[in-house]
Amino acid sequence: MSERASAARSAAATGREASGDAGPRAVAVRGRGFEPRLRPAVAWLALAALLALWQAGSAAGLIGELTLPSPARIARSLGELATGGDLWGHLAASAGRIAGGFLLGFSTGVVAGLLIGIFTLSRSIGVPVVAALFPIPKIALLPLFILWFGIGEWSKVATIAFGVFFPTAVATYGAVDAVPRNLVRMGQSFGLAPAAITAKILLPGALPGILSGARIASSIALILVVAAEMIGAERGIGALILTSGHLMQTDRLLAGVVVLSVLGLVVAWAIGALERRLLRWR
Amino acid sequence: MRLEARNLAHRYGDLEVLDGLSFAVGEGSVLAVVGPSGCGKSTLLRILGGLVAPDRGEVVARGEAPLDCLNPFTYVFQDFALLPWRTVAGNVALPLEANRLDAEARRERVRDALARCGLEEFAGAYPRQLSGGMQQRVGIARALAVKPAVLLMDEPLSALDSQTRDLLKEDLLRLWRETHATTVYVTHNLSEAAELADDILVLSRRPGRERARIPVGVPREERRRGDAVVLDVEERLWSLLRSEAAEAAREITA
Repeated sequence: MSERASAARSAAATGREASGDAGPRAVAVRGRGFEPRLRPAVAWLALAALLALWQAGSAAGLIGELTLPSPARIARSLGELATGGDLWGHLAASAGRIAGGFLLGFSTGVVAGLLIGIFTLSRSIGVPVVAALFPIPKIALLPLFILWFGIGEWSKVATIAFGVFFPTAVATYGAVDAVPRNLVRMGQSFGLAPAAITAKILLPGALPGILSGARIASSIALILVVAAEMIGAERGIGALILTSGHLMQTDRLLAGVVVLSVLGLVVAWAIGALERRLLRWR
Repeated sequence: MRLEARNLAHRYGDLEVLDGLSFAVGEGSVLAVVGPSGCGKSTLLRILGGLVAPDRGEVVARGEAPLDCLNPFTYVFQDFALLPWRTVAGNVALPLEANRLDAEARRERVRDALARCGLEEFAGAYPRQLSGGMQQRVGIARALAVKPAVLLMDEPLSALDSQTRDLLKEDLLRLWRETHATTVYVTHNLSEAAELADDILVLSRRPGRERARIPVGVPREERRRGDAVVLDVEERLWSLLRSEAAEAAREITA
């Protein structure tokens, strides 16, 4: 039906009778594959429209001030926290825990991943251990870590480090496995020592995979720091959010959430910048 | 160096890939190894350079490597095996870093190898910016930089289009002229073997044994594509291999 219709249309376009099917016809374009693109102007506009809608809903009284404070109210609360309040103290506490836990978990995770990726013995030991411990929601271990390390900083840092370690180790050994064996053989054929092959071939070859592991690990670190601070901390963004909730200060609570979102974006941007710098060759 | 393979045999599990292969390659000459796919050509090359230990037999080298040789047995790979995160110069420098060369001597060797391969202006480029042919030139320059005594080439032109291949053949001829390296050149391309080699070793279907050894006769510098002697050798190779290739193609590999 549609075939006949388009045949008729092209026949009309070329000014011929639709009597035969031998007439010249332009080949219709049927598509170039789906090519979605991100238009920055539309993205910003959509974001602004969402905020405006929210603000209008609050102003009209459709959204309760306590249930969900307006964007303006959250912004004001954020400003108060930043100038007069103790936002920076909370932020410093959280950032310090993330930094400590991440560095500890990431560095040990990379070393473990390399060992699993290089040696048969460490692979035989490491793979099942990692597979068994990876699925544990690491926050479940916080009470144990509190017993071991006390309620202070170390139990939180240990939880974050533990949570960061596993995805890093898995990403690292996966990335080492993915380095083409022919490159390793090339190194051997030129008489490079195993240490040189690790440093000059395996590690740089695995770097893209290790950095995308760092992305995942950093978002896990952010989740864990908030969870740990909600369980037992006086300072930190998680603690700020929790106490604000107890006091029904939803504007402060959401100001804390905004800070977390910005923190996450900053970390992701930092890793992206690192990738652009270290992986220029791609 | 003169290279002798004595009674080489190798198997991977139940798969017998080489069975009692013996041959010699004279100092400075080029031996092409051809055979149906899966006949153990690549395994043979790995054994020759000490990347795989043969189950049976041995490889013996006679003669001294040149004094400035840093890696007597040097490979050129089918897929080039360049490090994508290193520049052209960095890739050529890689094998030199394993040795006790001072920085200036290393730079000099890299410069020299790049110049010989016509790569000076690409020293700072990354492999992905280069065509396949240029990438293999980098692979050749890297081999040149260590001043090898024996070159082991595993289908070095197979990943290239046919025009690039013809251009690179000229580079290979120059390479041999300048280094006098004893060469084992594995290929499945019969015209490549006929154009480039002094001698051609024809292997049988797996497990690889010597089927024939054909000397080309005319010196390699005097041969051109389409010469009667080249076509004649190619024809002889094909008549030796045709039935084997057909049978090999029908095999189910585990």
